[in-house]
Amino acid sequence: MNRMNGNEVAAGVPTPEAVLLAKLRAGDEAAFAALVDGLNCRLQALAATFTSSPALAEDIVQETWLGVIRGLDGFEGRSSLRTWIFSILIRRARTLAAREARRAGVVSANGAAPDQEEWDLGRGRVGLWEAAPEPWTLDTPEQVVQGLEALEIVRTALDGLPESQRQVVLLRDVEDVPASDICNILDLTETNMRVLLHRGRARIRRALDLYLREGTRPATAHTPVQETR
Amino acid sequence: MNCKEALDVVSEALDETLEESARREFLEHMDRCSACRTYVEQIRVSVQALKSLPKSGRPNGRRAEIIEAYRKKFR
Repeated sequence: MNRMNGNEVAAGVPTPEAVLLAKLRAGDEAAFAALVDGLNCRLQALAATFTSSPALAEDIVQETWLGVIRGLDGFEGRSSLRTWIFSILIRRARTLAAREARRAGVVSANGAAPDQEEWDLGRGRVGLWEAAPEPWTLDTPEQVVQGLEALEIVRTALDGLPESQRQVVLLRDVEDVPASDICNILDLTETNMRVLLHRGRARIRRALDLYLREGTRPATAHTPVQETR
Repeated sequence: MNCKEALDVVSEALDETLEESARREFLEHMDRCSACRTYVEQIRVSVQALKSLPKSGRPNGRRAEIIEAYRKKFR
């Protein structure tokens, strides 16, 4: 029986992804290099959610690409190529980060300090009704997304999220991966995914709120890690 | 829907994955609660900002090794 999916030819017209996949399977080096160049720093960002070591993050990304090269022929197209690559990264990252943590004798590589969540499922927004949010004095919301400084605030706040929130927010909002794919590749129930997503978004909002109303910049989330390897 | 219930579904509402009846209740709540309206708008702008983050970064120091591994597969 002919199974149809996003990576196979539908009604004789191959999708751009099917074309790319065919090139990658045929050994088209330029296509592979373009894929690496387009995705690499995004993989680096995702890898960095599993470890505070830049060297280990690079290992994770490299192993991911090796996994992609090995797995190309077996890729069944049940998700997009990009989602498949993210899922390889997450599997490799978990293995490598756990090994590294055992070696270093630490329980978790999560650098973010746990603090009170602004929002909890079923509890509403903690403290919201003691002090209702004040509107941001912006002519248009687009001012926020156009301002380089505000985007820096968002980037710093994102880097400072606890790792599980950062993974979900990165995949969902920054990378636009479908929610159901995120549940699959991170092994989360839909409810857990939604809680993590909203908690992460709430923290980003809080950072923007502090910046827009009070000019407060969040502390840099990560101090550079000394290279020891 | 009260404030607490509305906030539980903010992300779904913004992602437009709420079921029709819940969506209606959510919008009704937004109509009458300015605090929630402000909050949800700010979450929406925050998500928009996340989507606008530049996706470029420093080049990969191991690019050559990775491309070489690909080349080897087809040798």
